[in-house]
Amino acid sequence: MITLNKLTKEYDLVGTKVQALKEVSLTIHRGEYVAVMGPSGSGKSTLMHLLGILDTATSGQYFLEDYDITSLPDKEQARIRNKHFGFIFQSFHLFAELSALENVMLPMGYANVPLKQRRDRAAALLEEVGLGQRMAHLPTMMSGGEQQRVAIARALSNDPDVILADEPTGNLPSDKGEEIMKMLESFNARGVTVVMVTHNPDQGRRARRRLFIKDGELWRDENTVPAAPEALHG
Amino acid sequence: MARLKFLPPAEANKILWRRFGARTLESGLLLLAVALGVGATAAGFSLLANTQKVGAEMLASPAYREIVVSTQTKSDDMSTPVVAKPAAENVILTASDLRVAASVPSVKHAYVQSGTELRFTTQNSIRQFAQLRQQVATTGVGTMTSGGSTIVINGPAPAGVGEGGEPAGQGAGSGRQNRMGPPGMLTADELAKKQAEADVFLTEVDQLRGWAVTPQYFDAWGLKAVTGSLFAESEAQSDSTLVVLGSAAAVQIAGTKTDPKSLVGKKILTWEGYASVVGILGPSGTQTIDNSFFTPYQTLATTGGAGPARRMSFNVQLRFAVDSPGRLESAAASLTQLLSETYATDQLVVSNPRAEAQKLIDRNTGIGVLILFLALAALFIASVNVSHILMSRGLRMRQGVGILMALGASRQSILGLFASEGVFLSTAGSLLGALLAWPLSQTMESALGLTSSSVWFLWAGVAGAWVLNLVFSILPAVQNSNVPPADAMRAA
Repeated sequence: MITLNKLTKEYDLVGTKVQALKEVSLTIHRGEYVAVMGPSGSGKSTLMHLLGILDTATSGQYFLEDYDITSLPDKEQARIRNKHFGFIFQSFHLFAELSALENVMLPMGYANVPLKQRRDRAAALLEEVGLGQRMAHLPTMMSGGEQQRVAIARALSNDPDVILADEPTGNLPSDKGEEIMKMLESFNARGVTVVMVTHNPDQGRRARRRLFIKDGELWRDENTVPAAPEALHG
Repeated sequence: MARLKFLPPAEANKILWRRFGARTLESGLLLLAVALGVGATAAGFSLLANTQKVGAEMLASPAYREIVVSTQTKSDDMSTPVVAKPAAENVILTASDLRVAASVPSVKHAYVQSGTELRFTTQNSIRQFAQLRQQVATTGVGTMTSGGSTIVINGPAPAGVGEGGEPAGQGAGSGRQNRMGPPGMLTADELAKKQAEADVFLTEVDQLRGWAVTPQYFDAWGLKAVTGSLFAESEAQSDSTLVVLGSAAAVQIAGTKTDPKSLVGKKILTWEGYASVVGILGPSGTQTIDNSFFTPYQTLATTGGAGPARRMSFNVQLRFAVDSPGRLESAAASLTQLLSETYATDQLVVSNPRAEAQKLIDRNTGIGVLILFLALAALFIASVNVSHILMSRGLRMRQGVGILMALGASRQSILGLFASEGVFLSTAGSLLGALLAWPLSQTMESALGLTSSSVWFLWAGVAGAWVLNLVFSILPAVQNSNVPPADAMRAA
């Protein structure tokens, strides 16, 4: 469903051009569980930003469901992000001013879902991630693991096609991290495409496909399990 | 309820407003700064605009298209009666002095104007007259004060004076020369007889100030009688007192039970005799005209005998109305030269009220400009501070902006989010400023002697200041929303 064709990203730093990503071409199919790995500064985050349409490529093409979204206007990009993608960040990035429920409701607000409907769905998602009793709590009243679970619920609120997770367990102890990984796997099992950036080789091995980025290039593309997402998930 | 697409969802608004509320002191000071800046600017603008408006209205009056010639007199007492012959060192201007106008082409109208007043015989004054008679009968002298002046009547009281104060042995119909006090000082019985006469009207107004004028006065001021007529030159020499009433003066004299129009043709009893109403003016829009009466200006008459039923003052003014304000200076120069053939230059004052008024207007305008400039400076400083603080708030929230964009917010939505804070600050601050501006503008305008002012200038000032402040308040929103999502995310 996602096809990148020689996607390049350059930054202009004080007169010097830095190539963060160099002509990366790949395809991610619906229902895949992909781990993006590589050393610091290799371009993993840049790739995630481009995948999530948070940044604009310098050259190349980006197809989402065969639709070229490389140079869409800002409004259209925002709509696609809201509808098709869910983001999970290493630092959770919840809004401290909002309760857990309100944080999960936020993406649905941008999708113009009516208030009652988004409140009900947010409550159901929080129940699903085991935080049904903490809906009214602010993030500052929660542990790291709980906050990340709220973030997962938020990422799922608009029923996205793709979850983009950038080091989702990076700030969590191992037991909590394991909970998060199991949640991601369960959502993938339901057909959600998961693309996860990780430094952790064990976590990387749990994905069915691993992309290795080095110096801005796609150095290796490994399938640990033969990828047939359409056959598995229809 | 469907959300307007450019407005952020409720949850995003909550982020901003909870942050706004968490910084109560900072937010409160911002509001106060905006309020003070807007209030000062609105008051300054109102002052300047009202100065111009009042000045323009003032200069539009016929009074400021005239040259005024009056005497150098030490007496400013408008109520001092005219004496029979002026002292040699005193100069009394007369209507014949108006002849110089014929030699000055730019003079359209020339007239005499002199302050005067009427004291009316009323039920109240009848009671006072009775007390006066009693005093004279008892002590041989009586005094009575009315309208700032005092009447003293000396006896000797004849023997057997009755309660009515009539001399004993004299029946009704005793001659006027035996009468105590002014002609209008009637007894109650006499008053009752007068009231029965169809053409006599008794008012309950004690006194009325007015003007003795030559007929060209009405032309110069564009006044017309809506009932009855004005008086002509020939009528100025008649024995009886003719009056033309201002519109409000007629209502005052008629009272609540009489139609003012019915006063025309009636004789109103005054202390000095009758005043015959020949006409009533239409509303002029000028209080001093509407509340006054007008009587033909006569040259000085002797006292004793059937003199005019009014009291004149020394302060006679010759007024020369010119056809264009630009010709006032030259007209003043010409009149000064012509009058110097008759009078010494130190005996007359030739003044140009328009020039004096213009100096006052220019001075007030200068003060208004200065105040407005200072107020705008205050508003600018307040607006820059608001802009700076909103910018820094936006920078602190930069990563949050990136997150919101990741969740589906467009730049337009982010702009709407930040702009709402700026719009609130500007609007709430401006409304508060309007409350401050009102007493401030009233104080300043009162200090400059502006008696009439338009509140619309104040609101215009508030609106203009609001717009200026709004621009500064929204600029940070434009800047804060114009950031790529990835760059905003990296702001962590």
